[in-house]
Amino acid sequence: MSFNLEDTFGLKDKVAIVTGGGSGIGEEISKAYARAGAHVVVAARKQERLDRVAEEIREMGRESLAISTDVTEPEQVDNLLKKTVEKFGHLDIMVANSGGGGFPPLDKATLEDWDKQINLNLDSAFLCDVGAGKIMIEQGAGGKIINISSTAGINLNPGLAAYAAAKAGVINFTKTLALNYAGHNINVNCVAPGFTATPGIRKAGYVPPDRRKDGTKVPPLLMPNEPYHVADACVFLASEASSHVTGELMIIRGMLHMERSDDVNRDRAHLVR
Amino acid sequence: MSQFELTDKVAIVTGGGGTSHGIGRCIAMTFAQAGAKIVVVGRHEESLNKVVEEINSAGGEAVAIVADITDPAQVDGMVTKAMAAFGQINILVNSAGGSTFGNPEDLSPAEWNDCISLNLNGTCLCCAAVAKEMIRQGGGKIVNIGSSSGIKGEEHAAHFAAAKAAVINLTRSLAISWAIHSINVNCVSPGSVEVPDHGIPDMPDDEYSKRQKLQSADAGSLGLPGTPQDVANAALYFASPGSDIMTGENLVVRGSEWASAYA
Repeated sequence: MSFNLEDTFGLKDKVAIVTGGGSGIGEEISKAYARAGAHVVVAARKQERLDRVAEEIREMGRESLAISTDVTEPEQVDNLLKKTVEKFGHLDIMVANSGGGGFPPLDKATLEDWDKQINLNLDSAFLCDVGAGKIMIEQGAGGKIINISSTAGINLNPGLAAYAAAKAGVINFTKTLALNYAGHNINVNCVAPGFTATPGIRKAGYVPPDRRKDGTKVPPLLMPNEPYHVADACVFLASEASSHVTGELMIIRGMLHMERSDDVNRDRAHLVR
Repeated sequence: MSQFELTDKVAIVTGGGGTSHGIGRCIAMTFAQAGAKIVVVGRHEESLNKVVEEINSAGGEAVAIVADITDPAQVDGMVTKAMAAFGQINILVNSAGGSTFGNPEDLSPAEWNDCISLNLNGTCLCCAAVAKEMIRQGGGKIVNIGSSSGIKGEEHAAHFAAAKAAVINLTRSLAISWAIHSINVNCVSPGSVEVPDHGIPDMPDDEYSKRQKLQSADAGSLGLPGTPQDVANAALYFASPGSDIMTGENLVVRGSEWASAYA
């Protein structure tokens, strides 16, 4: 048997960039990569947060760089890539994870609001992916590009028009890029997390209840994502285990909507033994 | 890498005798390496025993159960025997499947029925029988093996494509039904898979050469057919704690072969 779990699912000595790596899902991806053996460059705007994550990664025995980056600025993305290659000599994995929601009601929204969202969520993926792609093609050793979209890019989202459109754009851009890069053995895939209970969300006051009002336990598949769920999928997509997967979308979510559905709530006594 | 380990888990792998593409056999061996105890299920005792022997001699633990998964009584027997062997079932991989090739207008009703029976009915029977045990145990992981044919269609295997499309949709329904029982149901859909030195078993020459032409010469290894290991890796991902929140999903493993389907 030639299969070896560490070799196939591990990331030993790979060099990864994770944008939005200073908090939330990005922080979790960065640490999961380090645990899997990778050196990780964390990028985001807030240096202080990046320094903390980088320090934690170094404590795991891996190397890390914390590079303050606004991923909507081409020169800053160039700087991120340049510094990564200067330090490590190569780049194997790019995770374009930066992004964020928020949009005024449609009748009040301006083109400026729209552009801001497209810029942060879609343009940033273009800059990071194509920048990393150029380096990977030049290296000639393949690579892994992972875009973090959202179920907002698939679902109906009345309150998130621009964010949802941008995230849908990320999903399709992933496929186009996968086709362009297939000949260079660069896998390009997309991860779309559903609602994820990040530390930020918990801090804002939402702590997912694991008990219902009637005292019964909520089945794990009816709970929101934890950040590590998304990170584990990103480890799989960055590893050799997924070397024949490209242009694909991995939706990360359980059946949270069932727990929220009034019908299900009403019928719960019948459904849960 | 503990999130991808299967230590102390018991996995049933149907089609594990390596009768056709060798995918089931590869899944059984990979899961054993990841720490699981394996129940290899298939129709041919001899080939099952070979896989069991390979796993056991590498330090793993496996048993063979001869069963035709299209027969409900034999599927129930499979569950009973697996429980007798290991006392629990944590993972089911429905890898048994296969197809003939031909023009849809020439398909005989028997050929159609056999294909639906093996690929769809057999998968559904195994899911239902094992899920009953998993519900009793408080959860589990089911991985169905679909096919990219079930998404894009298949010129010379309409019956197979239809059955696999149904498997992909069945996956979604079972995931919804069994989420409250903590059973994750996901699907892995391979594109063309070649067993090294064996090509694609049973595929007519003209179909094979056509596929090879679709594989763009400059596409690198992503443009080549996949290997059984590529499929086994994805199955391991869905069987492991690393995918604990994922259910009802279908991961297509076909390199850049999909590009030809949209060209």
